[in-house]
Amino acid sequence: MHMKRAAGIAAIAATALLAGCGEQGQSIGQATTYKQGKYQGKPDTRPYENAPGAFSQGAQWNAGDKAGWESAIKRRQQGQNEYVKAE
Amino acid sequence: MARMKFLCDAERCIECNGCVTACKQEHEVPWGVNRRRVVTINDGVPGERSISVACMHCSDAPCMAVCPVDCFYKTDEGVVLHDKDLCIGCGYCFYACPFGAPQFPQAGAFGLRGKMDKCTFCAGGPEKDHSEDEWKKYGRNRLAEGKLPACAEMCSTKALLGGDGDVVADIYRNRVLKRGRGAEVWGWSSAYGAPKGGSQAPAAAPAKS
Repeated sequence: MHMKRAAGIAAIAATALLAGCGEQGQSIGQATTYKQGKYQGKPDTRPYENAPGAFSQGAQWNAGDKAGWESAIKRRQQGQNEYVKAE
Repeated sequence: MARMKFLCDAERCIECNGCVTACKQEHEVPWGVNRRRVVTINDGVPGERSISVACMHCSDAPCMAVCPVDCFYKTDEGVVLHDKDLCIGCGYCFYACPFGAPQFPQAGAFGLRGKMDKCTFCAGGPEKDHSEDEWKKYGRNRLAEGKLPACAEMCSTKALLGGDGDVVADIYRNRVLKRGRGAEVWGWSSAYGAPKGGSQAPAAAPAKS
């Protein structure tokens, strides 16, 4: 009887002690050193670094072609100006 | 390059909420999160005006200034974005933002706040362009497809303009000149005060002797 109770208590204690081991680390990460006032996240690609993809609706530029992307965006911007369309 | 901006023409906005719907649909934004909203001033009163509001991608963004984990960054195009992997959902940016742009999805029971979500100017986020991760965290990256934000492109009356600030301002200026009014509603006069009944241009500075 005593043995059973002791085993039960030991099992409960072990469960309670190990419960914290499943906790995920909450620090920013070892790779990142925190610096006040500077972006700490992952780097982002620029919109022209990749080819436009399947949904570009005619916009074409080669990967990395900044001027090509800019001209595509410029064309698109003028689509908002209906005075250009009407005249 | 461009400094991407939104401009909403209050003379044209008809409060249809098409921009809100376009944004929701384009990025599959969850329930309870509105990256864009239409605000109506003097609702129901003759002369009411509506404007569509989202993140204005401020040149000197207060959200960036207050973020305790510095998860915000600004792209070369002047778009303010953030890294959701770093965001702790504290809500400081929400208090700092004058436009109420940062949104927080409910992340669990008891109203637990999730990671911040806001308008990305349809520019995705810090993940590989057109990737599944980018889509799940930030929505579609239309800029990388050579397109402009869905809200502006979907606007039926073209009240909401999006793009390079200079281009957008030119389109709006041309429009105001053609129709002969509008600058008094949204622009210099609304910011600095106008003479009565006036769409007159602000007085020129006195010539230096």
